[in-house]
Amino acid sequence: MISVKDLKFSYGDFNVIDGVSFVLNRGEILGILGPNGSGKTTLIKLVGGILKKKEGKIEILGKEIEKYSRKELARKIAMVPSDLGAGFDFTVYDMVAMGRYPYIGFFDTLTLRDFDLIEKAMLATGINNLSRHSVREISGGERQRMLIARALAQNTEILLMDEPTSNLDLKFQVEIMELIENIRKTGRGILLTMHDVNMAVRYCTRVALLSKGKIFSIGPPDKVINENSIVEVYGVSGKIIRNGDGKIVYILPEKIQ
Amino acid sequence: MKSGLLLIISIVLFFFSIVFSLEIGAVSIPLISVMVKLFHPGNDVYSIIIWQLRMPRILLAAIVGASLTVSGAVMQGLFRNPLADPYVTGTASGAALGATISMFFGFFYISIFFLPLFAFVGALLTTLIVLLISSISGSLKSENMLLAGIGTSIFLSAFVSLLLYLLGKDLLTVFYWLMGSFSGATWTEVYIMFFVAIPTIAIIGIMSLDLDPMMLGEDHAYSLGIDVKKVRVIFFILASLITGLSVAFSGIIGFVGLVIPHIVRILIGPKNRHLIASAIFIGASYMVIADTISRSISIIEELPVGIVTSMIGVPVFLFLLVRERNYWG
Repeated sequence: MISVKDLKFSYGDFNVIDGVSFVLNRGEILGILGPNGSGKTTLIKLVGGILKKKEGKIEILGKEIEKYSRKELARKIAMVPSDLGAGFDFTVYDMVAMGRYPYIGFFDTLTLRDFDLIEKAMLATGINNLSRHSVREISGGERQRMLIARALAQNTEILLMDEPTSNLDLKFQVEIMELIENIRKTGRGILLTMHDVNMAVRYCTRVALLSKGKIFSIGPPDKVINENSIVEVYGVSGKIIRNGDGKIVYILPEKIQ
Repeated sequence: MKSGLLLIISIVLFFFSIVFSLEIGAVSIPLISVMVKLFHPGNDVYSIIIWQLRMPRILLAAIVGASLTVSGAVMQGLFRNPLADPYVTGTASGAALGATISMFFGFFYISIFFLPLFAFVGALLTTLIVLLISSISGSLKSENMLLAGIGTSIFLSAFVSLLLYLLGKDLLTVFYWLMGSFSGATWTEVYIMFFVAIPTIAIIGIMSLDLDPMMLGEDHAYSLGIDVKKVRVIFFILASLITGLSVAFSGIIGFVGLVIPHIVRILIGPKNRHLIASAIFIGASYMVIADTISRSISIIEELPVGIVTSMIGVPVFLFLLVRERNYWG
């Protein structure tokens, strides 16, 4: 669905993304992991077309990203940004309805099909009872679900999410990840960045460890995450607890290297 | 409140404000005469007062009120800041400087069209300079833009004062113009506003769907298919155009662009299509009523309309603000 080759991006002389290549397949969750400043968010923004690459190639559904208009791109990729600029008092319903904006022109109004998709997205994310609430009145977890609902209403094959579980307590983290897993089962491809290695190991089909703008390793979590890669990428040694089948159960960071 | 209901109320209010304003003034005209002379004008005093004096003034006030309100709504959306309006962002000061330059160098006396032209160019250049300054300091953050706008605004106001000081003889007229007034309104100004400002407002209204995602921030806007840079430039040009024209023909009338959009937002929420539709008529009615008060409160001399707009509007605004605490989050 997404194919990235030798991608480079820099702010001035500083190479934030330095030759990254990967693919995202249908029906998988690819988690981008890495310490702060490793370039996770920049990578997501490049793939989402928010930032313009300096070098390399990004293909979305077989077509180079530059060949899409903004509206066309928004019908292929929906993005869930990490923060919500809630300077204004939109209702939850209005926010989710904005997911349909890439499909409507200046002279159009929402059609029955739009309303149907908004409704379904709100049901799937369990926020249908909040529709009249202001975005300011709802909890962090509800807010995250609302942004995911908006992305679902956008009805795209690819979803990008920047830190979908950050600032949420444990219950909401699990809730959001279960929701994302359910979305994956519908055959969509999901690219997300994560801080929490344990959550990533549990839910991602594959993970990519990003370090200083380069991919250190990429593959199934049980292969990529090990004592060595944790030290190399995060600069901390840790214990990795595996079950009988060799599957990672828990990563316990121990000592700064 | 339902947005459709508010739109109907605001349209009704708009027509009532026009009729009310036609009746009232140094000479009060009974409602029945207003109605008769509106549809069957003659050469009598009432017809002349209605069609030559009051109507152009009312229509100019209405279009300026609508322009400033829409411009304010656009700026608040683009800057993602409830404090933004054409005055804070420097747009209006640029327009005032442009207009003052046209007077200072005498272009204004060659043709009336130079005044709005200079004001528009001043408004647009200032907006572009503010955008440029705020983008040098990093990405186009709304806080940077506001600070750059306020700084530029103060700088340009000093220039306006300097030119006025040098202008000397016509100081009082220009000073009066700067304080905001519709007293010199003629049909020519109404026509210019009618053929330029109204279509511009209509375009903004049509495009206003794109403002909703812009209010959530760049990342959201991009991911919802908005070409952020293009949309931002288009809105800035359109808002500068109507602000420039308004300042050229009526001087500096603060408050309306800042507060009317907020009042409408408190009543029906922030969706820009609904907001702008109602705000056009509420802004227009508000300016018509304020101007009527400014010209009828004293028969010797008119009050600058800016004083009236602030003195009535601010208490209403503060009342709504206290009542709707949630509005500010």
